Amino acid sequence: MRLHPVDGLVIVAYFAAILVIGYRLSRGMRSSADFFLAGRSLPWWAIGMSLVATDIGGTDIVGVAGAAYRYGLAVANFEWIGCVPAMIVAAFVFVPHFWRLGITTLPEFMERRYNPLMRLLLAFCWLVFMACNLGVMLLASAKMLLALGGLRFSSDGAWAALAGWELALAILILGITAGAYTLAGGLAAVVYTDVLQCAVMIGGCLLVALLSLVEVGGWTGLLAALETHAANRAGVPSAELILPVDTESPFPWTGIFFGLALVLSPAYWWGNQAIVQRSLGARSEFEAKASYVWGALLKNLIPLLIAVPGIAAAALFPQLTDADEAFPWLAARILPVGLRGLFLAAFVAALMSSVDSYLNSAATILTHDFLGRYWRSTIQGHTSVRSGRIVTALLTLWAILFALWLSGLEGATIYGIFQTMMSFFQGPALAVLLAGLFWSRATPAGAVTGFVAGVVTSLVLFAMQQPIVYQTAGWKPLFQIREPYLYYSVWSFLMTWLVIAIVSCVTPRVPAERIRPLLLRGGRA
Amino acid sequence: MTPLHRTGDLLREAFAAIPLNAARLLFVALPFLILVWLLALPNEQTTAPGSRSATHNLKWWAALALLIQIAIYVLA
Repeated sequence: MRLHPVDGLVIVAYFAAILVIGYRLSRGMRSSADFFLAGRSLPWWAIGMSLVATDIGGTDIVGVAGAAYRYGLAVANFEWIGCVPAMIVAAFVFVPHFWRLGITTLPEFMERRYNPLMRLLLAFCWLVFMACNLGVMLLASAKMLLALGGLRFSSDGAWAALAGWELALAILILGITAGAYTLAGGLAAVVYTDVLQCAVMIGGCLLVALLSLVEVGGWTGLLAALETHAANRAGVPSAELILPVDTESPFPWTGIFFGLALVLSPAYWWGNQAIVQRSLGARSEFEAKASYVWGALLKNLIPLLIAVPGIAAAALFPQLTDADEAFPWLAARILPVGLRGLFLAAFVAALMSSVDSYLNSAATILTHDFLGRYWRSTIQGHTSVRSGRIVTALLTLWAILFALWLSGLEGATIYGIFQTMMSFFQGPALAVLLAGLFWSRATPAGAVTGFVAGVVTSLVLFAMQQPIVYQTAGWKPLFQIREPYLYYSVWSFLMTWLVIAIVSCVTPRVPAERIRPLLLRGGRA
Repeated sequence: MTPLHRTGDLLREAFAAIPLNAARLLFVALPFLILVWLLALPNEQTTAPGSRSATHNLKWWAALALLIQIAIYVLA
C-alpha cells in the first residue's frame, strides 16, 4: 500500500495524540490504586470503549478478516454469541461483585477464597501467557505494519544504513511508544488512549466496510458474487453463521456454542485480568456495570466492520492465496489517498490498544501478586508507583527482546500456538472461579487439584491431536476439525469441575464465616 | 483407537444428527434466557442510585444488546 505524505501526517498526529494523553495522565500518581486502578476514577464510556479496543488487536483485524475470507461469516460468532451474552451477565453479576470486594487482581480473589497456592498458580499462568503474548503481538503487529505501510529503506539512499532493519525498527517504535505511555500513566493512560484508539479503529474499519460494500454492489450484490464464485470453484466462504459439525472450518456449531459461548467467552469476560482490571477502576459500581453494557452494544457492530470486508474481499478478489492479505489488499485498492493514513492509524490503534493492556495487566500481576505478595514493602505509596513503572519498563524491554528473538525464527504459526496455550488454562480457571463464587463446599485442595487436572486434560488432548503422537500410536486424530482449541476448553472445564467436586467432598470444609462475603447468591454477595 | 476416540465418535455422530435449525434454537435460546433473567432483575440493581429516568436504567440498554443478538441468530 503506497502512502501519500498526508497519510504520514495522519499517523504522526495519532502517535503524538496518544503520547500527549499518556503524559498528561502521568501526573498525580501517589499509590498503587492510582497506577493499577486509575484511582478508581474511570467513567463507564471510557472503560466500555477500552474493553472493545483491548479485545480487538491489529492482528485480529487482519486474522478475522482473513478467516471471513476463507470460511465466511461464521467467524462473526466470536464477536456476537462469543461476547455479548457473557458481557451482559458479567455486567450484573461478576463485575459489581469484584468491584465491591475491592480487589486489584483475580489471583488476589483466589487467595481470599482458596489459598496462596491457587493465587500463585493462576498468577503464574497469566503472567507467562501475557509476557509471551506481548512479544508475539509486538512481532505480529510490526510485520503487519510493514506490510501495510510498505516501509522499505533503499540500500543506496540517505537511510541506507537502516536497510534490512525495518522489522526491528518497527518493533522498537511500537514497543517504546506503548511502553512509554503505559509506564507514565498506568491504567488511566491505557484506558483513555484506548478511547481514542477505539474511535479511530471503528472509523477506519467502517470506512473500509462501507466502501467495500459499495464496490461489490451492496449486501445482495455480495451474496450474488459469492454464489457465482461458488458455482465455479470449491471453498468459497459461506454467509451462514451456524456451520455443521463436519465443516471444513474450525467453527462447527458445537465448538462455537459449547466451547466458545459457554466456556471461553465467560472465561475471557469474567476471568481475564486484562479485561476485568479496567472495570475494577470504575468510579462507582454502577459505572462498572454500565461499562460492560456499553461494550456489549459496541460489540454488536464489530463483525460488520471486520468480517464483512473479509467476505467482500472474497467476492472482489477471489484469487488471493493468503487469506490474511484480504483486509490490507482491500484497503490498498478501495481507499483514496489520505484515507489510507486513517486506515493505517486505525490498524496501529488496534494493535497498540492490546499491547498496552497486556503490558499494564502483566505489570499489575507481577507487582501485586508476586512482589507485593512476598515483599510487601514494594506496594506502599510512592514506592508502589515506582515499582509499577520499573516493572512496566522491564516488561516492555522483555517484549521487545522476545519479539526480536522471535523475528529470527521461522514461526508463522507462533501466534496460533499462543492462542491454543490460552485455551489450556482458560477453561480450568473459569471452573475454579465459578466454584469459588457459587459453591461454598469448594475447598482449596479441590480447587488446586481441579485446576491442575484441567490443565493436564488440555495438554493430553492437545498431544493426542499432534501427528507425531497419533501416527506413532497408530490412531486417528482425536478431533476431526482443524485447530480444535474450542473443544480443549470444554473438556478441561468439565474435568476441572469433576475433580473439584470429588476432592472438595473428601477434604475439610472452609469455615463459612471466612468465605461468606466472597460468595455470590443470585447475583448478590 | 482408544476409549476417548470411541466416545468422541459417538458424540460427533449424535451431534451431527441434530438438524442445523435445532442448533440455531440453542443460539437464540441463550440470549433469550439471559434477557428473561435480565428483565426480572429489580430496578435497584440496574439503575444509578437516586436516578428514576428510564434511560439511566441499564436493563433497557442490555436488553437492546441481547435483542440484536436474538434478531441476528433468528434472521441469519
